[in-house]
Order: sequence, then C-alpha cells, then structure tokens
Amino acid sequence: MIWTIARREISEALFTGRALLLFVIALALLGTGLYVMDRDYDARRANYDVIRPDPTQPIAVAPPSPLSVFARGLDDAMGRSFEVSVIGIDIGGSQASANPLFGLFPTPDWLYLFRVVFALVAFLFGFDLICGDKERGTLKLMVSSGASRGAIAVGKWLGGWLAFLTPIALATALWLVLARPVFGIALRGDDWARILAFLALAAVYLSVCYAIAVAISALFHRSGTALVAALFTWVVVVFVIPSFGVLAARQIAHVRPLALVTAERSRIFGSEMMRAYEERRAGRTGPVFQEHWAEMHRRGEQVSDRVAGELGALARTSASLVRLSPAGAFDGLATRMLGTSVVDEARLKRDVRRYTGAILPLVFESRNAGAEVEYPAFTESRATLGRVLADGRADLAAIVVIGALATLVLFVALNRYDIR
Amino acid sequence: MNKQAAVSWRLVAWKECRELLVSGRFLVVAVIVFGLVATTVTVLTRSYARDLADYGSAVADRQESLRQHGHLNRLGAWYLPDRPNPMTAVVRGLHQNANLESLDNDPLAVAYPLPDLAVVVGVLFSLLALLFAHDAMSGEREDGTLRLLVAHDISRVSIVVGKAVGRALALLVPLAAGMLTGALVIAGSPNLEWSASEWGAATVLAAAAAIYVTAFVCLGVMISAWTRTARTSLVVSLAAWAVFILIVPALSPYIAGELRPTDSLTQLQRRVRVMGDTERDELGNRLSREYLAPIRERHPEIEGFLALDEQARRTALTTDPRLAAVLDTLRAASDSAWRTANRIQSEAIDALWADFEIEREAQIRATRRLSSVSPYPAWVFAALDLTGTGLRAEQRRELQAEAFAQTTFMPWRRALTDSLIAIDPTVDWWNTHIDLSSVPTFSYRPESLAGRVVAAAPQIGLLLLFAFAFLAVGVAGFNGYDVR
Repeated sequence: MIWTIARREISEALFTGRALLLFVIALALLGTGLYVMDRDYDARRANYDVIRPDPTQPIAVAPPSPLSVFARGLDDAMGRSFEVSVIGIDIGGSQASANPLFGLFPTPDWLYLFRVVFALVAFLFGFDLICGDKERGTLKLMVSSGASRGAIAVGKWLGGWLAFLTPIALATALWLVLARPVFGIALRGDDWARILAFLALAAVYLSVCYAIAVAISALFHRSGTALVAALFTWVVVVFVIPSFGVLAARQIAHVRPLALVTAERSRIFGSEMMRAYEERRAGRTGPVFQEHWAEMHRRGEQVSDRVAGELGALARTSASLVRLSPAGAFDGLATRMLGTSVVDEARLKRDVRRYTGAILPLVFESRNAGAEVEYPAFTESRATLGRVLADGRADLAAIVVIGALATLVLFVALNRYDIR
Repeated sequence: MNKQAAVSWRLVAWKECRELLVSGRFLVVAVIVFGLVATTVTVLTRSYARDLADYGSAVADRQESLRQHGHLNRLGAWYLPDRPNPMTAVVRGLHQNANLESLDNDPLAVAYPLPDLAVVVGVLFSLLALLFAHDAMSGEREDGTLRLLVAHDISRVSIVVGKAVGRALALLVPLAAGMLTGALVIAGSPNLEWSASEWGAATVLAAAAAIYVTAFVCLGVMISAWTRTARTSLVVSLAAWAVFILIVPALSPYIAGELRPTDSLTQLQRRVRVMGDTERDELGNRLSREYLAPIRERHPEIEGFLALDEQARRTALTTDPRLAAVLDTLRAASDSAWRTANRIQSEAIDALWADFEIEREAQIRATRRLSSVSPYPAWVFAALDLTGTGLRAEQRRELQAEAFAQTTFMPWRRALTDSLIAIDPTVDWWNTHIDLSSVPTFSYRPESLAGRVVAAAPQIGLLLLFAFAFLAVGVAGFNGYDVR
C-alpha cells in the first residue's frame, strides 16, 4: 500500500511536468552557479599568482581553495596576503575582484542554492501533500480504500520526497560529471570525498526541510493557508534564526570593537617606537630598535590572543544558537567540510601568527643587515574530513533531531486530521 | 479605457483587496512583512547605535594616543574610521563591516552579514509578492469563479488590472505598517537623529519599495494569466524569481568582466606599492646625491659636521653660524630632491590609477546595464543611491578625502614641520614625540537629498516600467485565456 501511494505521488509529479520543470530549474541554477563561481575562482587564482611571495618575502598567503567554487564562505578573507615586518603583520593585497558590485548580490554557490533555493523548493513541494489531497477529495478515497493513516503518511512522504529530490540529484550528478570537461575544475581525491560528504549532508538537510513542509500540510486544511505557513517557516528557518542567532550571540559574548583594538595596536606601536628613538637619542647603543620591535611583537601577541579568544567565544556561541535552525546547522557543517568556515579562518590566522613567530628573527636580521634573507614557505594546516565530521556531530545531530520532530508532528497531526 | 471599464477594474481591485484582507494567507504574509521590516529596522538601529558608540570611543582613544605617543612619521598609524552613516539604520549597502584590511576582523560579519531593507525587500518581499499573486487567474479558474467573473460585463483588461491593483494594495498594507513602525523605532531611538534630508530619502525609499513589490505582484499576475493551474503558476513563479533574483544579478558582473575587462587590481596594487616605496626611494636617493653633490663640493667643512651626533651638532652650530646657512642650503636641496621624486612617482602612480579607474568605471556601467533586465538590481541601486551607502557615495567620499588631504592635511603638516624646524633645525622632528591631538580630522559631507533622488530616479523609473510591462504581458496572456 505504501509503495502504491508513493508511486501515485511520483507519477503525478512526472505527469504534471513539475519534476521536469524542477530538473530544468536545478540544471540552470547549478550550472550558472558553477560557471560563476569557477570564473571567480580563476580570477582569484590569477590574483594569487600575483601576490604569491618569492622566498625573500616574509609573506604568508594561502591559495584559493578549489572547494570554494562550491561554498565561497570566508575564502576571500582567507586569501588575504599577511605581510610580516619588524613591527607586526600587515594585510597586503587580496585575491578579491575590483568590481565592487560583486559583493552586492547573493553569491550563487552551491551552498547558497541548497541552503536557500532548494530548501524553498522542498517547502513548495511538500506544503500541500496532505491538505491538497483533502481539498481534491482524494484523501477521503484513500482512507476509505483501507489505507492506514500511517501508510498514507509514509507513502505520500516517500513518493513526494523522491519526486522532489530525484530531479535535483540528477542535475547535481550531471554537473559533477561535467565540472572537469566543461569548467576545468580539477579536484583531488580528498576534495571529492569532501564534496560527496557535502552533497550527502545537503540531501539530509533538504529531506528535513521537506519533512517540515509535509508536517505543515497535515496541520492545515486549506492549501492556500499551508502555502503561506510553509513560506513563513522557510523565512524563519533560512533567514531569521541564523541572522538573529548571531545577533543574540553578540549580546552574550562580548567582543571589543575593532576600532579600539586597532587603536590599542597603534598605541603599542607608537609608544615602543618613541621609546626606541628616545633611547637612541640618549646615547644608548646596541640593538635598541630590535629590542623594541620584539617588545612590540610580544605585546601585539597579547592583543591577538585576547581578540582570538573573544572571537572564538563569539563563534562558538553563534554556532550553538544558529544550530536551532537546520539551515544554520547545515551552513556551519558544510563550510567546515569545504574548508571555508569561521573555524578554518581562525585556524589560518593561528597558522599565520605561528609562522610570524618562527620567521621574526630572520625578519630582524634582514632589516638590521639591510640584506635579503630566504624565508621558509608558509604552509596552512587543514582539518581532515574525519576530524570535521567528528567536530560537526552537534550540527548533524541538530538537523536529524529537527527532521525526526517534523516527522513525529506529521504522524500525530495526520492521525487527528479531519479528512472530510 | 472607457468610464464603464474604469469603474469595473476598481470594483475588481476592491473585491480582490477585500477578500485578501480577510484571508488567512494575508494574515501570515502580513505577519512576515510587518515582522521582518520592523525587526530589521530595530536591529539595524541598534547596530548603528553601537557603531556610533564605537566611533566615539575610537575618536577619544585616538586623541589620547596622539597626545601621548604622537609622531609625525607615524601619523598614518592612527587611522580614524568614518563616522557611521545614519541611513545604515535601514540600508547598509557596501558598508558590511567586513574589515578585511585588519588582522583582527570579525569573520562572522562576513559569514552572516546583517540583513538590511535592500535585501529583505529585494529577496524576500519579491517572493512574497509572487506567492501572493501567482494564482490570481489560474487559481480562480480551478475554483470555477473566473468563468463567473468573465460572464459579467467586465473587460478582460479590467480583470487583469483590477486583480493586480487589488493584490498589490493588500500587500502594501503590511509593508506600509512595517515601514511606519520602523519609522517610529528610528524616531524613538535616542542615538539616531535623522535630519529632514534623511527622512525625505527614507520616504522616497519606501515609495521605491512599494513600486518594486507592485512590479512583482504584476509579474505573478502575468504568470497566472499564462498558466492553467495554480501549481504550475507556483513553479513558474519560483523559476522567474530565481532568474530575476539569483541568476541575472550573479551573472551580470561576470559578463561585464568579459565585455569590459580591467587589469588585475591586485597586480596594480603590487605595482603601485613598488613605485611608491622602493622605486621612489631609489629615485629620491639618486636625486639627493645629484642635488647635494655641488653644495658638498663647495662646502667640504660640512662633511665633518654631518658625522657628529645630535648634541655635538648643536654645539657646532652655536659656535659657527656659517654652518647653519650651509645646513639650510643642504636641507632645501634635499627637500627639493625628495619633492621631485615624490612628484614624479605620484604622477606615474596617478596615471596608472586613472587608467584603471576608466576601465573599472566602464565595467561597473556595463554591469549595471546588463543587470537592468531584472527589477532586483534596479531596486538595490536605487536603495543604495538614496541612502548614500553605495558606490556613488563611496566615490564622492574618495574625492572629498583627496581634497581634504591636499587642501587641509598636507598644508597643516607642512606648517607644523616648518614651525618645528624653526624652533630647532637639528632635531629629528619626524621621529620625535609631539602632541598631535590637534591634527585636522576628515569629515564626510553626504550628498543633498535632491542629488540622491535624481541619482535614484532612473532606477525607480525602471521599476515602474517593469510593473507596466508585466501587466501588459499579463493582459495579452489573459485575452486569449480559456477560462473553462
């Protein structure tokens, strides 16, 4: 019985052309996203080649990640050039585009498409699954033909889910196959594992969105009302909770304003340089400036430790609150899988500071001697996929729990549903 | 349209509006629209208040630092951010607190940027408008009521216009309520004082938002007039929304980049840095040697003086006044050499930037033209121009900052340096602590309301054009519509 109901759902989607239309939409969106993000990646890669340091430059810069084609995340921030000098770390060129209009509109990467657009599709496919059948009178027929309400729930859920997810999965698979021949996107073995993990997570996330929509369809009797309720839920899940989660986290975890941190760094710089000049004028000999540069670095590190601690606490609090929405949890875990998350940005900054500490004596030596010195190359660390999955357990659990709750609501609501 | 028809479309509009206003769908949409507008303005107002407080702290901190640790050589280190724009309480525009030029930037500001009215209205309300209007014809056809409506003596044009106007009015009610609540929040905020100019800009912005939402209602009605079932209308509406909101704005900059390519900004920055640093120093040192050589030849006694330390130089100057004159000549020659080096390199750098700016302007213009096939970019550009948070304001700011540097800051620094040298020419004032708290501070003067409205007018006109075009296509579709 379950399979009969599911088959009816699938054939209806195929018959009305909804599935085909969704396939076309998914194909267009995913293809456009891949094209746009690949061009963006190429431009950033070209810019990286310009700012990539030679061995005589004390500069830490990470190449753009090919995975940023799928989730841009913080790749712009991570592609900055961190230039080490005797007085600290300066931010040099970046890999971003010169056209400021790029930043005005949503980045159409696959993460955005799955998180926002296909989640909306999930809501629009599921919102009238029960109440629509009730309006058409078919729900009454199904119940009178002997199908249990549980079988109806499972059958309709399964059929609608396959009809919704199959076109998106096909379009995704097609573009994954074409990514290399059409766009020249070359991925390593580990990258493929991460992409597949990301897509598996996206499938779970979309299933949860669909489950919420189906639960909504069992809570209302008119599809018009269910549509706006589904839309309202989509707005809350995708936009409101993630945005306001971060805002609430800012009220809980205090982070000193950047202007004050910058002012503090300027004060350290000004006071140490002033002392150095005064001591030199007073007749002190020896490595006066080097001592004050070292002191500047030590005090600067204290500031960096404090800032990193505050930002880390804010990021953790935000992640906990944003996780209340499946979209927030999906975004957090997906960007970690693809290496462009807040956590990865913080790790890169730690790597830059560690690199700075390691090469600082060479920077002093070069400055004192007025000669070029060869520096070791900067290397960034990266969390393994296993580590990411282990750290992202809470996000995954949040998505699954919300999905289970939605399914529970569906069963309870359908059991009490007035099918007349 | 004759008088009878004019009355008819009003009747249809009134019926649509009244029916929607008492429906459950309106209630939910009203909650979303009202809630989002009011919450967004409240959040952004608080954010502005925090930015303003941070700015105040930064000003005080900077003044204290300049007093205690001021050095002419390192004046640039005490950078002062701009005073926050009060209009960021509604639209943040290009100002998204990314702060990528600092090591201490907050990545969450990039990962989760605050939603503003440009995004909320542009992305979400366009979708709401489509969902509000997608079943205007197809839904009534399925219910069987469309046949009844056509059976009355009402022209099909009146039905399409009436349905579009009625649905738009119903959607504008919660939008207006949300905007009014937002206005009350702003008026009641103790930290945010809007002038008449800002209120004027906000009023035009609200009008532009209403036109934008109406354009999407017209699009929904248009789709409905070309499709047979509400479900198909819904999917086509979603596809249209994705094209207008995601595909066109995302593709436009890339296509513009192909049509009007620019040099790599990163490459240019790197080149300019070398020209303004290493190459300038090389040129300055070479010119100095050339300019100073004849003076040193004429006054060989100065070599011994230059080898002395600061204290010994001071003593030598008091005992031999001729040395002071030679020193002045040397200093003047050195200044002249470095001024020449700076001028030559600055002119070369300016020429590079000017060429780049011409290319960049052309690319931005092309982006705007290409993206104008969708109402969304038109709305965003109008919102940014009206609130002074876009590219136009950024360019204006750069011009003002440059003028400030040339006419106020540089003369102030030159006068201060001259006065200090007059006090004691032997001191290295460049690297000596001085109270610099009196440094003139740049303050941006925003564009007048009239200028901003004129700048936004073409975009608002484009939105009106979209609304009429969608309506016209809807009328064309409904004229051949089988209402059975």
